Amino acid sequence: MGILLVYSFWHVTPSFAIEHTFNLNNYTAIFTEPLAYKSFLLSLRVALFSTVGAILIAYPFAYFLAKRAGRLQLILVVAVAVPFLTSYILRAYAWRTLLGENGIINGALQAIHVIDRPIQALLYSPLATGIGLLYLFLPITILPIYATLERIPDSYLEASSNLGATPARTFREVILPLSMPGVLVAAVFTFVFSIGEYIVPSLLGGGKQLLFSETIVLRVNSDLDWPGGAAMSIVLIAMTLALVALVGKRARKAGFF
Amino acid sequence: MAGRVWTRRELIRRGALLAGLSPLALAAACSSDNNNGGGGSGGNTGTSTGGSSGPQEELTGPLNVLAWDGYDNPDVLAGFKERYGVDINYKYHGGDPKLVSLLQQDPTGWDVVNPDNDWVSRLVDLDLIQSIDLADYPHVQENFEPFRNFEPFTVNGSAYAVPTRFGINGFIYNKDDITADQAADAFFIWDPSYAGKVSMVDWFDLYIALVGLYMGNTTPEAMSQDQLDQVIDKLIELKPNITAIHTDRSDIEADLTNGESTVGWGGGTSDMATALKVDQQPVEVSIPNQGALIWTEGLCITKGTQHLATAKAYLDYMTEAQTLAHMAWNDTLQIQVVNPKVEDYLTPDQYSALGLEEATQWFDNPNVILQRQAPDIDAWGKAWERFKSA
Amino acid sequence: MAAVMRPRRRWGDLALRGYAVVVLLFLYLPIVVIVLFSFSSNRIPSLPIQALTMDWYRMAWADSLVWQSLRSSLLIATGVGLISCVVGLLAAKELAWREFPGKGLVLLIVLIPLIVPLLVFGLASYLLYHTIHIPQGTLAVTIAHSVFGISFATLILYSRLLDFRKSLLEASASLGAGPVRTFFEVLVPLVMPGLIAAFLLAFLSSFDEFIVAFFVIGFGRTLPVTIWSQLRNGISPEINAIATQVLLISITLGIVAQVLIGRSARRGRS
Repeated sequence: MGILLVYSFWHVTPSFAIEHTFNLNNYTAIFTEPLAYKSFLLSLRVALFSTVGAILIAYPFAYFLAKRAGRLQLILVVAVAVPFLTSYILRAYAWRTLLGENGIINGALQAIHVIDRPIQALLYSPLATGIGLLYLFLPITILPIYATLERIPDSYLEASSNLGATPARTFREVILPLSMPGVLVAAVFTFVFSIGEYIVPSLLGGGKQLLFSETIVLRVNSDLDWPGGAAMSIVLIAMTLALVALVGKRARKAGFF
Repeated sequence: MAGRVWTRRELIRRGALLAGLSPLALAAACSSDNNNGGGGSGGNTGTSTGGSSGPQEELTGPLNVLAWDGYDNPDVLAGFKERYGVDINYKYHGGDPKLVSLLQQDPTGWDVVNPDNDWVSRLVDLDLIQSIDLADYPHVQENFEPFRNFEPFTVNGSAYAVPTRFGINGFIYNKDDITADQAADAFFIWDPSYAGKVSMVDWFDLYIALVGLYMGNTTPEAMSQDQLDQVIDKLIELKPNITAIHTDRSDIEADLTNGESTVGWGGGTSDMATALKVDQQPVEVSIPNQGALIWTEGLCITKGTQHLATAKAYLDYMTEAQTLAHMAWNDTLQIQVVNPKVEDYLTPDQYSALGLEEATQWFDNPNVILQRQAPDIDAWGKAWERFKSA
Repeated sequence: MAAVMRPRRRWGDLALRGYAVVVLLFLYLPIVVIVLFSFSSNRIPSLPIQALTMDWYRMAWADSLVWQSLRSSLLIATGVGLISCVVGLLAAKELAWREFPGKGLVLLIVLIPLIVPLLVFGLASYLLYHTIHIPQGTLAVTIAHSVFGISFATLILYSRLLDFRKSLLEASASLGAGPVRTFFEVLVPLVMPGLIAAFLLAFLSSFDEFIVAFFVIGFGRTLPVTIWSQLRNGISPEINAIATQVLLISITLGIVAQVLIGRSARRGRS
């Protein structure tokens, strides 16, 4: 246990100026500078988009995996994990070819005459970042939900239908609540990663509208403002921790933990 | 029922075993395939490899080099090893600001660093590099005239770096879509018809200087805050036309190849153009009437180096025409170098494709700035941020 | 009752199955792109594809740097996976079964490494290792990756262990088995799925991780670092070739695993 605690404090981020004097300027700057708070809000929106999107996409798939896949379960789980063995940098790059103006998606949409001219905003935009993040974290979303769903004994479902409940009602009142811990875990993971992710936004986002993570990088790299970047990181961590704590508390109240 | 549960357990056990063993098996396969590729993994070895080829001097190593891409060229590294018996540990620094921060974190861990233009004086201010004596490096005298005693690399009368590669930053455009005349006016990219078609990289000191130049400031680094604000306002105007502000210039190349953009701005225009032409893309370089900037890279010896003699040998080696020829033209990169004697080591086609002859014309162009001085980095950084957050 | 249920069930089943296929396609779409462009003669992945070639594969096979970095990545990732599972299991055990004040806080602390943006983590790790004199290289990367590997593993195993029936352990103890034996012969097999999941997650996250590795590996290379630098030089097709091969190998392993498991299942049943 002790090891765990020690490991968690691995990183020490100094938030004082390089002359080693404490001051809160870096923190106030975060709220006053437009780049800082704009990028923060954008990060929140994009992370929300990818989290909600990922969960919506993942849930039915996880349900299928847990309840209907039978012998295919193991192979499908592996199939979900296998893309991870291909570098995520490469997969993000691949999204460029897919989302670009002359890319595959635009080409396909034009071929079936859904649109006349390519959609320029598919690539190099916050939307692209959102899609990229959603895609990247989809497996992470699927697995916890699958794990929780898998543990719901089939007997519960049989009992529920024997008692006269329609499948929809069974879903709403039995399956959904029981799977909530998994959904929460998935949501937390995905949201947290999406907010902190840097590479995908830098590859797909286009650099015109920055996400918070990119702002931190800008601070540290271009401005050589390590204390500023550190302060921003701490704010990020603090906010996310607060969010997680909040979610955790509500979950515990509802009796999940 | 019990039987079924048991087989499921077996199932999972087998799966776990395979999952656990397969990566190790792969790793073993890789190491047997690996034909002694040298000590790539792991940290500094700290010992010097004497080598049986009889080095000229007893040099210590390995040499830790922090540089732009291309300095890890296998021919270059092998040549050094063969002559001096010392390994080179290369690390890509990812940009001048990153170089500064990496060096600040570890002043004694690096022996040679590779900054651009005015960043040399910044490194001097931060007391991270030491002065050199150009007399130690006779090959520098073979360089094009401006690069023999390159002013931006000289601080308070002492030289701090030897130049190696250079290039010009203007526009690279798709000649199927844009004519040379159109591209001659720097402000053409502001035209609304280019919405989303101009690709650039995130390089604030370049673009601020360029736009400053276009707007008539012949010494952009000396711009006042007012002029700086005007430059940023102008840049903000450009935003709708920008495809993306990339982190790497290879992204600009990708954009031009894919048709995402029709103009590439800055980012090492000349070498991008060479690369794309080799790839048979229809591109041309444009030096607009308002002028352009030449970037020059140099090699410096850090103050905290543990291997001074080797570092000096390295600088000498890197300024030789033969070495620079490898740097100038290889499988992955084609880039201009400061020493025209590379002509002796390249084929005529390669040499002409590099455009070193044309480059000399740039030196005479009054609007092309070669001697770049350091601007107020903090003010420019803040200004760039304003541009990015708009 | 059953007859009434079946038609509706079949409709829903079909839709669900189709949906699963769509999702899988979505997951593999970029992979298809990568594989496709590994054969394209264009230096930069772009349409239209001009010619097909195996040149990139030849380049990849000859590139010793690539093999080295692949090997480093595999070793590191395996180490991270194992460490994470062991430490994670121990930690999860305590968290799930023992009551102590501040438990919520500890959970949050476990979560911290996962929240921190990787770049910050990378920079901070670089600073830290430098200060406490851990040399850069594969060991440093393993340590750094293990930090979040452990977090992953702990969380996964924690939720797994939460409704684990401790009665089984007590039963084993009352039957006379010592704690060690109980641990290995009762606990471990029963949480095996969780352990596998934890191992996989830790392994994969380490194998693919770029930023932290970039900062901390010094002069060595992991596969993502090599990929990154190759991409910057614009010879991505070689990387596409490598990625395709890695993919093929892992798919083959997956199929082999499935066959073996199928065989043992059949044996078990007969």
